[in-house]
Amino acid sequence: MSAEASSRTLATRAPALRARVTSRALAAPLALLGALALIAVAAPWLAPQDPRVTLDMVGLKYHAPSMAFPLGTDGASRDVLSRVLYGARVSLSVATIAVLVSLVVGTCYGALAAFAGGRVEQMLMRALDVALSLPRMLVLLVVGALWDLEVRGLILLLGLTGWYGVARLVRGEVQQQLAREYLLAARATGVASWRMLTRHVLPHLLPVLSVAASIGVAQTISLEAGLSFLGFGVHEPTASWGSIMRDGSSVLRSAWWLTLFPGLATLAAVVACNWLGDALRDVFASEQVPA
Amino acid sequence: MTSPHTRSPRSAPTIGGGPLLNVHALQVAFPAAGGAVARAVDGISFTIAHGETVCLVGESGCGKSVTALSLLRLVPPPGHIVAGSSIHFDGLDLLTLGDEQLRSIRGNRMAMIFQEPMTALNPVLTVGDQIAEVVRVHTSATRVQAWERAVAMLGQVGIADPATRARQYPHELSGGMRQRVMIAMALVLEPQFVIADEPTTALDVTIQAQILELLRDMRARSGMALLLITHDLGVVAEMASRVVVMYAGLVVEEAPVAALFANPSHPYTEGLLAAIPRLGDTQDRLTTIPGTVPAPTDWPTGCRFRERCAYAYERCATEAPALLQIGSAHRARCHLVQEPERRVRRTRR
Repeated sequence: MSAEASSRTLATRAPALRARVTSRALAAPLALLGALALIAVAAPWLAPQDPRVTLDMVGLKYHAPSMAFPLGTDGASRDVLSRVLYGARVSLSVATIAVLVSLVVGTCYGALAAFAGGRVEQMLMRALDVALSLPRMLVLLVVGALWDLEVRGLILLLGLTGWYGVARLVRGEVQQQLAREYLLAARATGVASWRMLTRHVLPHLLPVLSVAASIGVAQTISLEAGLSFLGFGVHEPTASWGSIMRDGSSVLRSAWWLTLFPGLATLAAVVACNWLGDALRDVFASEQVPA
Repeated sequence: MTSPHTRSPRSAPTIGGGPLLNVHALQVAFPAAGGAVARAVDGISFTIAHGETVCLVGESGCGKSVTALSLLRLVPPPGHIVAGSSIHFDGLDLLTLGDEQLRSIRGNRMAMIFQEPMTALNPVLTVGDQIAEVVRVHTSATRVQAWERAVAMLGQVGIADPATRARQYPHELSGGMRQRVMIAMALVLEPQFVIADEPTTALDVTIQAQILELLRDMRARSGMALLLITHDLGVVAEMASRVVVMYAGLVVEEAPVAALFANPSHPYTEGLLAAIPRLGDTQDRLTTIPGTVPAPTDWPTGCRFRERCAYAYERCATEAPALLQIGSAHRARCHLVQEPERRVRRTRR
């Protein structure tokens, strides 16, 4: 019994994750994110109007929030509540998928570098330094200005400019794992490199990747909002939170509801993701295996 | 002299007649700081017959573990096996095999049990998964079959309620159970040859005996050959049929276990035996061998043990002794074999 108690302090990270998902630290941010995701998924049922339909170009233009239109209407007399609800789908899915893309690319790159070692690793990491030296926003603006990005293009652009940090993180983490004896033991049983990476090393990356993912999603939501606000991202007739704010940017004083509500939605999503990332970090830090 | 557990070597199943493992002039080098080269293993040769248990003995830093890893070609880079070495396993030249062939041998025909099961088991996989993986990698067994075999193997290594234990993670098991898991992992495919690198060092004394007992049973059951690396001569007496003593990257003495204990011929072996504390000893201080193993970047000229040897004389400083024959299977790397009259303790400096 005492042996079991003492080994609990050595509790490892990944198995502990399962037990901790319900812990209090994670409950609040997960609930907030869950609510936002639910809203996005249920938008067709929740939205009172079709977000793309011009209701009454003469009578309902820039209609202030009222009982009929809780969040008002925009310059094309479309219901802002419906647009914000549908916008959640675009904003959240663009950010999530883009981050998934960057996680996959970054993990492959970083793991490849760590596994290759030697000169190949050096070359890959220097190439990464070069990529990291380019300001991401600048790259986004240039590409956004040169090509008319559809939603898919936007996802790719955000995903393919967001993996450098992940690659660095993964390379460091894999390097650390490669020095550990269990991998030597796995090789001694004839496990091939690829299987070793996927079965033995990747589970160890779960903690850092989940933290990186949630903070990445937060960043990407605001990046997407920024790009769409500047007109380089999602545009008419599709609504994202950023593009709704763009619609309201010229009438900020008179039709404040056009920028305030999508802005609040963006804020809520970004806060929820960052909060989750912090909470995950705390959970993993307290579960850290002593080296 | 021999322990009641020591068995006569099993009659070897003669496959091709030769030894199962033949290591010849094995050298392993590690680049060290300042362009120096550490020759951790510096030209050792030994053989292991089918079904034989050989103990590799020596203190920390003398090259035992590196020898073990080189048998599986797992010397951690930038360390490497120096050209001119040869390792033959069951007729295969291990040093010329490709990665694919090498992998098909590791874990399948030749397996290794590590010293510290806590670090040698992956903390994020269940122990059942880790044993089943060996089966999956080397056979065409399905997931379910491999799992069943893993559970059966856990039962064979003496773990109660193996079906439940298989689903647990290494940190949920005690040290002794973890080592049993390591043994199950190594033996699940019934390899012909198992290397155990100080398998009991990290365990409580009471558990050590159980693990040794288990290894002996498993060896008797499967007829595998065992290379047991240890610095514990008590373990040697219990387990070995033959002993290879290493010092400073070289084999300094090689003998059947009874001959070694009865007639230790190298002063280092003698020192190791003298250092075993005995019940009823009246002296206050434990006997030790003075000094430490020299650095592998700079092996001394002449005999590498002379700095620590109670018998060293002029010849030892100038001439490196060869491995000299004493009995039919007993050899020692010491000038005293030729000049036994020199076996006179000099006063320590």
